[in-house]
Formats: sequence, structure tokens, C-alpha cells
Amino acid sequence: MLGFVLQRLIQALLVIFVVSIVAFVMNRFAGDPVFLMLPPQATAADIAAARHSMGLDQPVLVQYGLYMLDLLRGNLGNSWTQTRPVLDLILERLPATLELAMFALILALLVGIPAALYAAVRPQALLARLSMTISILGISIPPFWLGISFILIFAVNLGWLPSSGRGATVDILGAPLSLFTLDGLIHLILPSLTLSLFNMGLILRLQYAGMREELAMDYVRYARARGVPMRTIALRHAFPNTLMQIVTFSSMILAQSIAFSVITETIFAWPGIGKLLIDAIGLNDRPLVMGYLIFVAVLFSLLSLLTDLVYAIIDPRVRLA
Amino acid sequence: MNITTRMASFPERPADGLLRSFRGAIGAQVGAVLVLLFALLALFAPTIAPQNPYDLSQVSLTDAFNPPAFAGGSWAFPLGTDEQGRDLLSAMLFGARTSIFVGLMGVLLSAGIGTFLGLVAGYAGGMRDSLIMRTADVVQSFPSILIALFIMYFSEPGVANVIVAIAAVEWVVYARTARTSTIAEREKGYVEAARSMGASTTRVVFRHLFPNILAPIVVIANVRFAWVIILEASLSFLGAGVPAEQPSLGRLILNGYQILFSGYWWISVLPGLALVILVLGANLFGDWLREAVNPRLGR
Repeated sequence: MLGFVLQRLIQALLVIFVVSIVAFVMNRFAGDPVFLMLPPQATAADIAAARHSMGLDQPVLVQYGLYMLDLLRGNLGNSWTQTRPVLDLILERLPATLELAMFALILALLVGIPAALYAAVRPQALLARLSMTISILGISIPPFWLGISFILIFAVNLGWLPSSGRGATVDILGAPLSLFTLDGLIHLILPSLTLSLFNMGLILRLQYAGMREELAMDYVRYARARGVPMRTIALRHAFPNTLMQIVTFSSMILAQSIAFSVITETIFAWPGIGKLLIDAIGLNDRPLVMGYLIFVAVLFSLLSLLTDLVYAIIDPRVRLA
Repeated sequence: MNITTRMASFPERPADGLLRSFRGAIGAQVGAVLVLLFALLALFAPTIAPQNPYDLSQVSLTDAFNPPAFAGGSWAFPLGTDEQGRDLLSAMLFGARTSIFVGLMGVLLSAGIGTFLGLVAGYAGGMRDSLIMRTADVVQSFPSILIALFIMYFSEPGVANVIVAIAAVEWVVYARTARTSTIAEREKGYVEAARSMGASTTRVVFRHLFPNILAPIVVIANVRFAWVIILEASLSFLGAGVPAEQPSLGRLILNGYQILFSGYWWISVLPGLALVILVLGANLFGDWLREAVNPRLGR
């Protein structure tokens, strides 16, 4: 068990290390950062001074060493446009993004899994075929267009739901969350539906396929022969065997949702890290963009580490291997 | 024994079974018709579009914000006009052209690179295998839209750059499949036969192995096509995709989004509807193909 965790930890560190090198190389060699920072009328002396103050006049290897030392200390540099530490800016907005992504994932699971179980047990039923058809429509609608359509229908035309911001928040364990105030919950509806409809379709299809595979196994036939009702076989025997798969795609979808927050948060003016990144790209705030890259590399590595741990808890074969 | 039973005893060609399955699959037929229709419209966009929306001499600002004909506009602009007086139908036809072109080239480039790397990894094994597959692991540990977005951040908006950004994330899917198939095929008799006849490694890999691992690659390419089109549209919607002078459907939606609250809904809704229908068609067809060839593939 310890060896398994250690092995995954080393893998995660390797990914973060590679990303940090890529970030350093891109930052250093894709356009001179000095020219991005200084006004066009800067003199040669200004440029040299800026170069010196940013440490760009030192050998590349020294620069890389200093950069890695900063990273290890958790220092991602200062934002150019907001003159505050990048890490603070990201951590401030992280709860908003995580809240939206988790809420959307839970919504998608709550609809997708039961629908898939039903469709797998009764593939010929009208409702089952209907939900499989709707699911293919679900994975064909680009989330950003869905969000725009939602705003047009529910915010602009009907005026039922707000189209931007998080609404009122309360601090839960130090993190401001919208979920626990009525105003916040109302603000959460449209962005989370936008984010989860695609995933609902995806989960429905993945879980349906997994259950069909499981229900084709020999043990299911023997249980049928013994007279065990299909419902019981599906829920008590086949479903637990698909849990690993559910964990796998849930973690994948959570990562995707955090990434796709660049779109959802832009459309709904949701103050999370996705909007932070898009704004930073628009203003060419290099340290903020690179800081985001490193930060999500760590975040996704932690997520996949967590997923592996959950595997080990669910499946003794992983734990003992 | 009459002639029909003797005919039936011949093994069926795989293509025949596929054709028969296609005849029974209504969804796949609808999908194929939709994709074909879009492909034809895109191909002949310059001839069938009422105007060339990017020829400034044909566009007049006085025509701006005309609603679609079905919503009280004139039939001169069946789907209305945008904020610059461009005919939206024409813009959409040209937009679909860009979307499909990027989708097609994105799939071809990523399938090409991925298949090549998968073949090398699977056949050579050892260091080359680990290097390629660990790179694939790193790429796959990031959601595709973020990698593509970062690549576009460091380059100029442009059709070629978007295709490269898409290939940079999508090759992994093909590499994994090609590698798995190559490892399975590597030990088979025909590979050993070719080698014992003195065929070079390059010849064995590309003349003998490659045709035998092609089927799953084609299936995955069909399944991923729909996703690549969504990916391109998402990038273009963020302004990090195709340039404004050569808008795809995603870029057209961005134009409409910027004036969303002014009541000109059709400028963003109609291109999006076209995008959904195109992706739906591709998904319906790709889904059937995957089920028909190998249900375990490309999920």
C-alpha cells in the first residue's frame, strides 16, 4: 500500500517537474518578457535596468535554478496587472471554481448513473432508448453555446435567473461558498447546468456501456437461472463492479470541468480561476498565466493521486498488488 | 447442394457485415446524411452562398441587424444579418467550411502523428517506448482544452496554428491504440515471415503492420472528429482559435455573444444550432461505427 502511494507520488512529482520546465522554457524563449512589460518608448538603459532587475542578464541555468527555488518555496511571482502574488490571486478564486465544478459533477452523476442503470437493465424500453438518444444530443452541444442559450432564455427573455456573478456567499471553513445561501444557489443554477449537461450525456453513455458489459458476464446468467430478479443482480452484483469505472470518469470529468471553467466562468462572469486565466491572457499578464499553468499541474496531480487512493480503498487487488 | 447454400458457406467479407449493420441503424444513417450535407455545403460554400461575407464590396453597414426571415425579416437575408450587415447564412456556410476543414485536418494530423509514434513505441519497445508513452501520460494528465489554450497563447491566432494545437493534444489517443494493436500484431506469423524474407524494419512496420492496425485507428478518428470540432469552436469562442477574417462557427458565436444583451439573438444562436447539428451527425455516425466494429474501442 505504502509502495503504491509512493510510486504514484513520484509519478505526480515527475509530471509537475516536466510542466515546470515547459513553463520556464516557453516563458523565457517565446517573446522577450522585457518587451511585454515596458512601454514601447523605453530607452536602452530602461531595458537593461529591467533586464537586470528581473535577473534576465544571468546565465539561463542560473535563472532556471532561481526559478525552481522560488517554485519550491511556493512563490509563483507577482502579477503584472494586479501587483499581488500570483498564488494569492489563484487561491482567492479557487473555491468558486471548485464549488461550481463539484456541484456540476454531482448533478451529472445524480442524473446520469440512475438513468444508465435503468437503460442497461431494460435496453429495449422506450424510456431507455429515449435517454440514450438524448445523451448523444447532450455530448453534441458545445457547453459555451448552451450557456449563451440559457442566458438568452432564462435571464434575458424570461428574467427568472441571474446571468452573472456568484450572489451572496457564506464562509464555510474559511472558503466563501454560494451553495448555502438562497441567492447564491440561484446564481449557481445556470452555470452548473451548462457545465453538467455535456457530462450527464457522457456519464450516461460510459456507465451504460460498463453495465452492459457487466451484465453479459457468466455470473449474471447463473444468478438469473437461480431466479434472482434482474433488479437485484443489477444493483447488488453488477453495479458495485462498475464503481472503479465511476471513480475513473468522475475524476476525469472533474478535471475537465475545472479546465472548461475558462469558458463557463467567462460567460457567466463567475469569479473563479478560469475567468482569472482568460483575463490574464487578455492582458498578457505572463506571471499569472504561467502561475496558473503550474498551479493546475499540481491540482490535477493531486486529483489523480486522490483517485488512485480511492481505487486502493475500493479494490483490495490494487491495495495488495 | 444448390448454389445459394454453397455461396453462404464462403466467409463473409467484413465490409459486407458492416454494410448490413448500417442498413439497420437509423441513427447512423441520419448522422451520415447530416455530415455529408454539411460537407457538401461547406465544399460549395463560395458558389451557393448568397454573398461573399468577407468581400467588403458586397457587405453594407446599412443592412446590419436584420432579423431572420422567419422572425419578421426580409427574404433577402434568410437568416438575418450580423452587426456589420453580413448575410448570416453566407457567414455560416463559410464558417462551417472553416470548422470542417480544421476538424478534418486536426484529425488527420493527430492520427498521422499518433499512429506513427504508436507504431514506433509498440514495435521498438524499450527506451523509445517509455519515452513516447511517458510523454503521452504527461499530455493526458492535462485536460485538452487547457493545453491547446496555452499553445495558442504562445502563438498567433490562425487556422494552421489551431490545427497544430489540436494535434498536440489529440495524438495521444491514436498513439495508445496503435501501440496496443502493434504489440498484439508484432508476434504474428506474417510479421515473422516478412522479417525472415529480409524485409527492413521500415518495410515491416509500414507495409505489413500498418495495414493491420488501421481499422481501430479509422474508428477512433471518426469518434474524435466530433470532439475536435467542439474543441476548435471552444478555442475560437475564447478568441484563441481561428482569426476574425476566417471565422469558424465557434468564432461566429463569439461575435454574437459580444452583443448578446442587445436582443440580436440570432447572431449567436443560429451558428450554434448549425454547430450542434454538425456535431450530432458526426457523433451518431461515429457511435454506430464504434459499436459495429469494436464496442470496446475509443471510449
